[in-house]
Amino acid sequence: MPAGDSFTPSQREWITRAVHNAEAVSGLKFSVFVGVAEEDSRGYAERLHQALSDPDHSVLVMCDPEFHKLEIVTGIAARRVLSDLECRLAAAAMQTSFAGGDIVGGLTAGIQQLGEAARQPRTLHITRPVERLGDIG
Amino acid sequence: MNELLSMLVPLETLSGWPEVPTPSILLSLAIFVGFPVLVFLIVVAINKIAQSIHAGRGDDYHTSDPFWVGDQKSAELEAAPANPGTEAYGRDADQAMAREVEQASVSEEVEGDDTGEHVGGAGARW
Repeated sequence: MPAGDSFTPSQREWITRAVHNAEAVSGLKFSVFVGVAEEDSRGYAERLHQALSDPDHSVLVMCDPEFHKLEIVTGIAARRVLSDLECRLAAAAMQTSFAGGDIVGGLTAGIQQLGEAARQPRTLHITRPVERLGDIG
Repeated sequence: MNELLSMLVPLETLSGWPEVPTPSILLSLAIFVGFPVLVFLIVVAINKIAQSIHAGRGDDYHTSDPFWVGDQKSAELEAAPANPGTEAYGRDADQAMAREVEQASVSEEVEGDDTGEHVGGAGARW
C-alpha cells in the first residue's frame, strides 16, 4: 500500500495543518517527507532539503516508516532560531510515538513542537502600524 | 501409558472416597492436546484482530510512493529505490563517504566555535 494511500484524508489534513501552524508561529518554512529513504538517510534528507525553494529558512522532517528512520534538517538561517538541541528533543518525542505505531500523531506533535521552539516574539515597533502625529493625544 | 498417566492423573481411589473413573483416551487428548491448541488459536485470533484494526486505522505503512507536504524547487523528487540497501547504497556509497568526510572535516573546523554556517537538525531510529 503506497504511503500516499496509507494516509487517510483526515490524517493528511492533520499533517498539513500542523505544518501551516508551525510556519505561522515560527516564520520558517516546514516540509514533511514520508517515504523510503536511502541507506544514508541523513544525506538523502539533506539533498531533499537542498531541493526546497528556500533551504536556508526551511526545516525538513523526513520519516521512513519502512526502515524506521527519522531525520530533521534545518537550514542555516533556521538553525539560528531552532537549535539542534530542540530538534533532538522533538525527534525524541516523535521517536516515542513512532515506536508505538502512531506515525501521524508523532509527526503532528513533533512539527508543532518544532514550530513552538522556533516561535518568533512579536516586535511591536515593527509590527504595529505607524500612527500619524495628528492622531496621538 | 496408564502408569505415565497415573503420574499426572491419579487413578487410585483412596479409602473412604468415591470411586474415581478411569479417564478415557479422548478426555486425555482433550486435556493435554486440545486445550493447548485452543489457547494457541485464541492468541493467533487476537493478533489477527489487532493487525486488522491497525490496518483499518492506516497505521500499516508501505511506503512505495512518498508522501510530501511542503515546498520544493524541483518538480521531480529523487525517489529512493524500493531496496535501498543494495543498489542505492552501492551507487551512492562513494558520494556518501565523500560527504561524510567533508562533513567531518567541517565539523572539526567549527568545533568549539560553531558559527552555524551549515545545516543542522537531528535524527532518530525506532
